[in-house]
Amino acid sequence: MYTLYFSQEESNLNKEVIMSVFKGLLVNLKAAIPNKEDLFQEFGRKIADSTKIPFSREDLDLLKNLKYESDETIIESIGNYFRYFNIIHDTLIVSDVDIDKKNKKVVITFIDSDKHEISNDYLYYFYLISGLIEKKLSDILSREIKLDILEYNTFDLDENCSIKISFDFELLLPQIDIEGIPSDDNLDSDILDVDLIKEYLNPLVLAYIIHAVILNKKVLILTDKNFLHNPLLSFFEFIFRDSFEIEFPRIVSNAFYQKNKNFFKNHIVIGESGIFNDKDHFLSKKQVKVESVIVRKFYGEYQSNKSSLNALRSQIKKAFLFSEELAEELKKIIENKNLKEVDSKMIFNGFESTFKVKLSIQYINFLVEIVENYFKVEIPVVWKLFIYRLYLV
Amino acid sequence: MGREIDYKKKIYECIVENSFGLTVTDIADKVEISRTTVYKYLALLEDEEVIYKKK
Repeated sequence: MYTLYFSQEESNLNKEVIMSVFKGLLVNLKAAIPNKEDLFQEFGRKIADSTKIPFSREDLDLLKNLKYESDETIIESIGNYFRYFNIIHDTLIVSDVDIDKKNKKVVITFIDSDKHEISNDYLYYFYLISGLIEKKLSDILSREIKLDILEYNTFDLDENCSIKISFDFELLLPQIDIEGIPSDDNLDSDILDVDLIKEYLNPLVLAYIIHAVILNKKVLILTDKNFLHNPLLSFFEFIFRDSFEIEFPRIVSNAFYQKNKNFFKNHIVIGESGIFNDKDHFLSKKQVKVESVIVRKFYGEYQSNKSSLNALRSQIKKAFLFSEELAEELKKIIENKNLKEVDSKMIFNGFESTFKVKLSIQYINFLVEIVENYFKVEIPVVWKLFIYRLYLV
Repeated sequence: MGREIDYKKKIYECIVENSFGLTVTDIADKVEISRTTVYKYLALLEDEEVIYKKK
């Protein structure tokens, strides 16, 4: 049991009232929108910019400097971040933090100091907080960080009610500069109606479209909003310019599609709210993890339209350059017919040193898919297994 | 005497800066003094009613 010291200066803020309001809000939100854990995580992300976490200056400097460290060091150091976790539930105290650097997993045990009955309401609280922490850390480290809740258990520990929760960390899309990506000044993004795109195009739908077109699939977008057709085409033309040479999605009305269904039987059909027809089950939320991170930045409220559009285009160009390089390397090896002698580790070490960046397994998976489907390089299954094993070690 | 004011001030500033509370070990680490010394000044600050503790 800890004894914590507080300044009396803080006592003008009635914590008890705020806590009870928050708890009431949380329980009722859960009742109003049940089974929407993802939504609570999104709330957390939204409130992050207006939530002040009382880092001391030295803690903040320590966190900022982490952006130059390896993923393993970042994960290890993030363990310290979790002592700030009792920021809303002041009866919850972190009793143990177990960091699994290898699997990028952090397991935290909390004890409810007031010995309240542990309810599942806490789970929603953790989703909210994980969104908040995800956004805060992403901003501080200038890295896209995804924080998923893997397991959630309640149990008794030394007669105290305890919660054990496992977080899975994904460190994606490092901020790196690559020659050849034009600066903001060279882009003519002003001509695009970005507000219109953001208002009518759902982020998950955009992630699906990007995933499908860069993997050489034919995409049909259904919308009855005729005014969207040209802005959408201009938008796609802009974000893929100087990178992937894609077959642009066709955009038609629902009525047109119904009359000409046969013509589009080989297309992946995407409506305004999600997948309409995907007979090969090519698209799923799991399949578009990297694309979702890329588009989330585009929809961020705190960036200007121009910079969010440029960020989106840069990430697409980055994926193109990385996968092009990877495809070239693999083609050379295949042409030399030295398959038996190939050391996959060497390929990827060379690849990482070229771009001076350590890539996450999700990002590697994303690039391998592009190499196979866009650049049409057949990667032997054994290599793929080796690559995945390599990146899981 | 000068050192006493200095430590007391540093400990107080440290607690004000961390509004979610600090343990004695946290304070000792941040101010870089022993926990015994921290206890001594915490008692003084509690007597002055500028800080409070919660278990």
